[in-house]
Amino acid sequence: MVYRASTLGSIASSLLSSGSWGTTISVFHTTVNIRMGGDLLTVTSKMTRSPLNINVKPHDSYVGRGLTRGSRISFDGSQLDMGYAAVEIGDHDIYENDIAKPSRNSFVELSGKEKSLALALLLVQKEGSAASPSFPRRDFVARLLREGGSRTMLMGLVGAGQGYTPSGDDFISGYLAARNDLSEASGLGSIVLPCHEVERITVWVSAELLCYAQRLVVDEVVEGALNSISAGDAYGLMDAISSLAARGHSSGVDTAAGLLVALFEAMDSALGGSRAASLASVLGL
Amino acid sequence: MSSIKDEIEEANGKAVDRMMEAEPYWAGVGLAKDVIPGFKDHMLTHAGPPTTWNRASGPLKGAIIGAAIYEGWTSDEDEVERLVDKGDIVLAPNHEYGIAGPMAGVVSPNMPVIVVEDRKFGNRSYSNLNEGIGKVLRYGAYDEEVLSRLKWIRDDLYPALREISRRLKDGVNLKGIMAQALHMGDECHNRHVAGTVLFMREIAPALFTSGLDEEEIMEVYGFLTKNNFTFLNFAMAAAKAMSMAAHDIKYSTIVSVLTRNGTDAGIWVSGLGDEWFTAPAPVPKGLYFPGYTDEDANPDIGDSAIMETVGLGGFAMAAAPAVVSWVGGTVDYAVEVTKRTYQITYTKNRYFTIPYLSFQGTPTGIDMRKVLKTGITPTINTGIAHKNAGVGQIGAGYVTFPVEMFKKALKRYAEVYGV
Repeated sequence: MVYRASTLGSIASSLLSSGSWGTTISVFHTTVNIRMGGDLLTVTSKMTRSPLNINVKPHDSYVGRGLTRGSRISFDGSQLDMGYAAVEIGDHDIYENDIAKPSRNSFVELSGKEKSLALALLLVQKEGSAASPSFPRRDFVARLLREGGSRTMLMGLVGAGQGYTPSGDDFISGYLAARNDLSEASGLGSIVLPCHEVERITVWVSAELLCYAQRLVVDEVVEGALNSISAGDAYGLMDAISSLAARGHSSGVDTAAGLLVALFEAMDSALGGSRAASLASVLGL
Repeated sequence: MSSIKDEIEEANGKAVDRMMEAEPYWAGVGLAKDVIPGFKDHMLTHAGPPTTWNRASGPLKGAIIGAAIYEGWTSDEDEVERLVDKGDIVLAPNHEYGIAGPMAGVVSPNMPVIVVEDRKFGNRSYSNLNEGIGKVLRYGAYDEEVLSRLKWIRDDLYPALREISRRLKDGVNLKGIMAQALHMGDECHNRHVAGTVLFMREIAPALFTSGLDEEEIMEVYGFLTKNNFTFLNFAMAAAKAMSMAAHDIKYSTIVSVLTRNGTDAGIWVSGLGDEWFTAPAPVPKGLYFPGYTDEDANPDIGDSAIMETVGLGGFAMAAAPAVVSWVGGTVDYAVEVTKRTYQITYTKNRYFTIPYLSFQGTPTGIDMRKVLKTGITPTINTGIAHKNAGVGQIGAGYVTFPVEMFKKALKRYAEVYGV
């Protein structure tokens, strides 16, 4: 089977131009994660774009066929050889993040819509997800909501929970993407976790995604959420929450929860109030 | 004080319980203008969410033209567009009047309609009478053959059914027929072989003792028994009554209408009342009559997804392996669709059960929250209409609804209840 690349992420494109081979780290039906030169490259037949992705056509096809963990993937300059399958790079679009700068006015626009946003998240909450009462480290999340996030508190969530990318990691990815994007507007400052330590605690792919997210390298749905926040567009943010909801075991809702927690914390800082603590009550934490 | 999560659970339990416990009976027939509250002169109701002439699909336009000619508003098909644009013909969605009509689903003031009464909760619902398959109004055909049949339905079949319903003082228990039909290989959307036979068994004594002349009796009997879809419209009116019982329950996230008009698909969510949430209707995949291909197909159309809304049709396909010879796919796929649907529904039906799945209840009560959490949207089976007005049915198949309308509903729900 020969697949055709429809979009190359900006980072994926750089990786291909510098590397000639890699090794599969995880293989799913529609997604293959590859370690190439110490970086993550994802080949996926799903449509969501990311700087790390090579999106291939036909969509939703079985790109993982015939591959196992540790399979060698090679690139000859025009084609990615993936065992039984190949991906022709050819003509393609390049995708890179374009994240707007939020301001205090973004928070003012969103003010008054916090309960709707919290309810949108509650409606799609899943058993065992990071912001649910059944999450093993719910006390960390509850404390974070009441006291605000810190590097130590976040490190306590790394690797926690279920899923290929553990719920805690997905929550932190969403949290840090929003926290760091909003850091100037909120005055809270950014948080960057040490990637070598994160890698030691959790699975490699999850650590990579988390470390990119804290540098605001995110997929287009999370980018859409961040841009909705900047634009003060609560409906856009709800749209992103509903788009994230079905992702993975609970990866999407964990990411959405992290985004919303960071937003409420930032709004509390910029405008005063106790939105984050109220969110804890809505979520039953 | 209970949390909103508790309120939602309680509301959904109530909605689905009412859906299952409704008792739809065939109570009679009447002309739409006489029996449907609010049905106005020069009004045509149609399947799916609201639309306009410009947005209407080919088969819906064809059915509107046919209905206008049938009513005698014009004999010139080209004039219909002008009448609609001027407001001399008013279009409205069936569901807003308690009606569920298959495919284009067009109902006009002087069309006879089935009247169904929910004896548990008191709702009344309606459907038109089934014309058979192929070149029929509901698929957008409107030539002389189609119009003659509609007139025969009004002038001959309708009086006969009226007489039958008068004699059947207790009415006909439609839920009971649907439950039994599931055990006889129907799924009650695209296969009504058993349902039609069971229904005829109920009404035949009244038909044969109706006092009509023998030729008329045999003509009516022949029309009803030779059409395997006779029961579809009775079942749809019954399902509409069941969904009405589940509708308009504060906090409920259960879908109470799932429908399409050949351009847009749309849903109602119980706790959000009669507000439409729409997305472009998808094109079905399936089996085509000789001479047609998917190039000819119109996007999906019809109120018949009301059957899936109450746990039948595509959701119950594991009960109906033979339906795959009509809609395509394999028996394994039919079973898979039923099993997958459990992930997005509130419960298993108490009354509609599937022998092949050890008599498990059918998946019942689509929960918009579960659709969004799983990314699984309802799959239904469906008839396929030609995209051009005037042609008719060209096949049958499957269609999976777009997630966008559920996303829109979530946003509205959060806005309404997140205060």
